[in-house]
Order: sequence, then C-alpha cells, then structure tokens
Amino acid sequence: MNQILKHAKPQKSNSDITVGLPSSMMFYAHGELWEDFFSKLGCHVEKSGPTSREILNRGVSLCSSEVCMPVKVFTGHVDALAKRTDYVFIPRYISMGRHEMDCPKFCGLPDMVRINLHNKVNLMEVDIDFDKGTEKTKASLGSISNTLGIDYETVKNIFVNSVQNKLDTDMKVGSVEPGIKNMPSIAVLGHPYMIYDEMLSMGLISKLKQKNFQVLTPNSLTRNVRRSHLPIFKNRNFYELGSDILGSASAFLELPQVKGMIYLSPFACGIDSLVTEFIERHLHNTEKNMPFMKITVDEHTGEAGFDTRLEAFLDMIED
Amino acid sequence: MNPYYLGIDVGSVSTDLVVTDENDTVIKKIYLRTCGKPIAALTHGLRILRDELGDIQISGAGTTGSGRQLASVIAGADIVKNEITAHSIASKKIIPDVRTIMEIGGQDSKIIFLKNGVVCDFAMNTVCAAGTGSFLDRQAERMEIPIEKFGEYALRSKNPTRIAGRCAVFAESDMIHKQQTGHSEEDIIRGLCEALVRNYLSNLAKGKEIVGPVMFQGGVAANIGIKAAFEHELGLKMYVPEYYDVMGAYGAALLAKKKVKKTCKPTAFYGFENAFNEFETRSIECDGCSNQCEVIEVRVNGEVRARWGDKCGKWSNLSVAV
Repeated sequence: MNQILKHAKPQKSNSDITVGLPSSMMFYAHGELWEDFFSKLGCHVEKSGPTSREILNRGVSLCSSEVCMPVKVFTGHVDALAKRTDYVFIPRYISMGRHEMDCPKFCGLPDMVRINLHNKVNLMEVDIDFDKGTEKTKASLGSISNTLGIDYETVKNIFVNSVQNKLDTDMKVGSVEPGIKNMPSIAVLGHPYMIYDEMLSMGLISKLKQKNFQVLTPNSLTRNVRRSHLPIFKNRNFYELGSDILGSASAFLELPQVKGMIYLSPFACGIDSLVTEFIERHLHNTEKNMPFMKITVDEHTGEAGFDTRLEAFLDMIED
Repeated sequence: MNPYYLGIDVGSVSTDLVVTDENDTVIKKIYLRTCGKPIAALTHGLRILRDELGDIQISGAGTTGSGRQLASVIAGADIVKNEITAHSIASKKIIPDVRTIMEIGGQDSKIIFLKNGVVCDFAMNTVCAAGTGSFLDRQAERMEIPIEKFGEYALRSKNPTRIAGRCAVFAESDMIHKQQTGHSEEDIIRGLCEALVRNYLSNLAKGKEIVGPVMFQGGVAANIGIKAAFEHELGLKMYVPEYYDVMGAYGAALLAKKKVKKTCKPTAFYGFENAFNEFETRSIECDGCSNQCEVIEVRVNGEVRARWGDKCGKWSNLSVAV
C-alpha cells in the first residue's frame, strides 16, 4: 500500500489532503514549524491534541514493553491520527547539528511506528541530519514532493523558509532571554515531550505554577546560552537533547532566583541516566547548594507518589 | 480542659495514630496493620483512642502517609503533609541536630539529609519495593520465623552468606539456593540483612556522605539485625527513637499543633464519634472525555463527603450535580 502511494500521482488536490501531526515527541519543540511547512504546501493539517488516557492505553498495547514511555505515547498519537488523516508525518531526527546525534529511538521512529501499527498507516517522512550539512536533509524531501505531487524545488524552498531557517535562528539569537522574571523559580529539566506533556508529567508545570513559582525550562534559554554553558564535560554530550539539558542546568545554577531543579525522566531513558549523573556530580563538585530532584515516571497513573515527592521538595525549599 | 493533638499516618502496611499533649509528649500511640483496608484501620484506631482516653479535647489533627488524603477526609484534618516533612519534624524534636534520617517502612524507604536543622536533600525508593519491610515480612513468613525474632537470628550468625539484594525476586531464589546447599538459617538471615542494607545505601544514599547523628526509624528499625548491619557498614551509631514505628504520625501531630497555633481556628477534626459512622468508598471511571479519569468517592452514612481523582474538577466540586 505504501509503495503504491509513494509512486502514484495523488487523486486529490493538495487542499483535500489531510496531514496528521502527532502532538508528541519533538512536536513540543518544532510542531509549529512543521505545521507551517505543510500549510504552505497547501495541505490541511490535523494535530492529535494533548495526550489522553485513551491515547496512552492504546500506545502501551501497541508497543513492545521494552521501549520507553514517550515512544509508546507517540505510537498512540499516530494510531489516533491514522484513522482520520491521509498521511501521518513523522520527521526522522538523526542529528540537529555538527557532531551531535539524536536518541536512536528518534532515528528509528518512523520504522518502529510502521511495524507497531502493522503498516496500517501512511507515513510521510523527512530525515533531519544536519551533522553532514543540509544536503542529505534536503534530498530526503523528495518523497514528500512525490507524494504530494509538488515539484521538488518548491518543497525545498518552503522547507528552508518554514523550518530550516527557523532552526538556524534559534541557534543564533542573543544570550539573555527577556522573559525570565525576577521571582522565585523552579527549573524543570527533561525532554520537551516529557515536561510539556500534561499526562506524562502529571501536570508538573501547572502544579508548580499553582504554588506561585515561575517555571523555567530549557526552552526559557536560547540555544546559544544552553550550548555556551557546557563546561561540565570537557566535550559536549553525544546526544543533542542531552547537551541541551546539561547546558540549561548549568545556566540555571547562575540565576539567583532559581530555588531548585526538578528533572523529570521516563523510566529507563539512557540519555537521562547519564545527564542526571553529570548534573549531580557537577552540583557536588562545585558545592552549589541547589536542591535537585530526579523523578522517574512510567505507566503508573497514581499521582500519590509523585505528589509526595513534589510536596516534600517544595517544603524543603521553603524551609 | 487541656488541649491535645492527633497525628495520623496511613501507610501501606501500618496505620499509626499518636496523641500528644501541649508539651509535645506522646501520651498514646497506636500501631495497627492497614491490611489493605485503610478506612477500617483508621476508624478502628480512633475508636480505641476514644475508649482509652475518654472524652479528651483534640485541638488539632494532622495526617500523613500515602493514605493522607483519604485519612483527612475520614477523620477531618487541619494539615495534610507528606511523609518526608512529617518524619523530619518528628526526628528534629528528638535529636535537634540530627543530620541523617533513615526510614524503612512497609513499601517505602527514604533517606533524609539535614543541615543546620533544615532538610537539604532526600530520596525515596522508586518503582521497586525490594529492601523494604514487606519483603522481610514475606521472607520471615516463608521461613516460618516470627518477624520479631528475625533480628535475633541475624545476630547469632558467625559467617554471614552473601545474598543478592538487587531485586526481591533474585534475593528469594538466592536464599533458597543457599538454604538447599546447607547454609544455616542464621547465616542466611544475616546475609539478607546485609543485602538489604547494601541495596538501601546504593539505591537511596547513592554515595552521598552520611554524617551522624543518624536516626533509624520506621517499622524495620525494630529489627536489630538490620540496625547492626547498618552500623557495621557505616561505622556510625544508629539512634532508634522510642516511638520509631509511629514517627510519621508524631510529626503529623506536631505539624497540626503548629498549624492551629498559627491560624487560631477551631480544628477540622470531626471528633471520635465520627468513627462510628458508616464509610463507603467506590471508584468511578468517568466517561466524560478520553482521559478516563478514575474518580474516588467517599460516602459517610450514604452521603457524599468527598470525591477526587478527576482532572477537570467536574466530580471533585461537590456543589455541582453529576
């Protein structure tokens, strides 16, 4: 089915084609860019919306037990979209910059989803592989051009304007984020798809805001700041997201209004196991008095244990 | 009439109640097995208190433990606090300059670090309950040794054998192997105590420096075998407070007193008579949206007293008819 669709000229005009964007994983970082990209290509864009219990349950039942919770949730999102869209778009994030790699699960995400959904979904993909420059990434736009019947140059130009340049801008903007206010703050660290997913994060950010804390995340800092604060390693982290979080942690240490840091991690995340260890060592070595807590979450929906730790952590800060 | 304060700790394994007086002295403590029925255990405890203490005036009540929310709905509480805070308040009352608190309960274990009387770090066990009280309970039961005697057995051992402590399932099979190859019960039990201590220190303390005075509390603190294994491993003396098994409840009582002194409001405690009411809980899976929240409803004599567990507030707001 996929093979046929890839080569056949579309029967519909592009405005009739609905492209599904799973509101999960890197959607939290670049969702708007991809939405803009497909709108400009003339497609109708449909998002799967916030993770619900139903999406989570569906994802868990579709995936093997070995993969991490975010991948299960992502599969649930794709499954929800598969029924109501013509194509589901899954960018294959391989590398976001020179000498940086993304988690192997990102690199294989479209394949994993295809297998877990038994090929019952039409996927559109693009390879984001900036380690080797931009050529490979641009070449991978060919399949989108074929699928939508839009000539390659047009697709490429829209990609450059809607996505690539915006990613570049993020890397180049100035050093201080103007949005950070001078009030008691908690830094929430972790992958964007963990900390911004209300279901997976058990509402961590809203719970902190309710307690009148300003919540800072790696997104509160520019990429430039995140990268320039990577002294913990002699070298940078192999994984892009890892470098982001590590750099953010050390940048937050310099902000006097940050009263504590909470690291939210999905059970069995390989990147997090290294990053949290290095943050803890850094805190220990520099003798900074920064309260730091790692919370590991998995499938459990009982929030009692989570709330206990959060409450105790905030009590400790307010003491 | 003298004011008294009530602290309630509803944990996974035990439900503890403590009554303190104006001088923070414990005048009565009750330690009950929760047996999976927290409401029954709690109301039973309240009835015992009424029978033994008569009609005393409770001026403040606090709840803690994993069932603290449920307990506050059943008994009525002025303050609902997490276990970490409750335990550290109680320990500081006994040893003001305490630096490390180790607590091993039924399914939870925690370590709390303090500096200048302020909590500066803490850790709780994650998804795994290996190395907690219920695991020891289970092994004691399997070996048909009363859990109270477990510690004595360990101390009699001369050559402890090594037991894998990473996981309760592996530990159990390891113990069975050792037993079948002829190791004595004493040596196996001491090996188990040492494995539990190793596991606790590597999972919770994670190489952080443990400074004395160290307090050891929670139900497992009664086990002299574990206490000895900790002292041997750390080279520090472990202080086991007199009310080691109800420290959470003691902390809740102290917190309640502080709270009512501050707010000067009458207590939210429903009174001991309330324990004779009929309590009923049920869970409802809401089908209002795709979140499928599990809502808990508590009824007292047939009337809804509280609901929680919903994300949108449709159920927990009692003034709205559902």
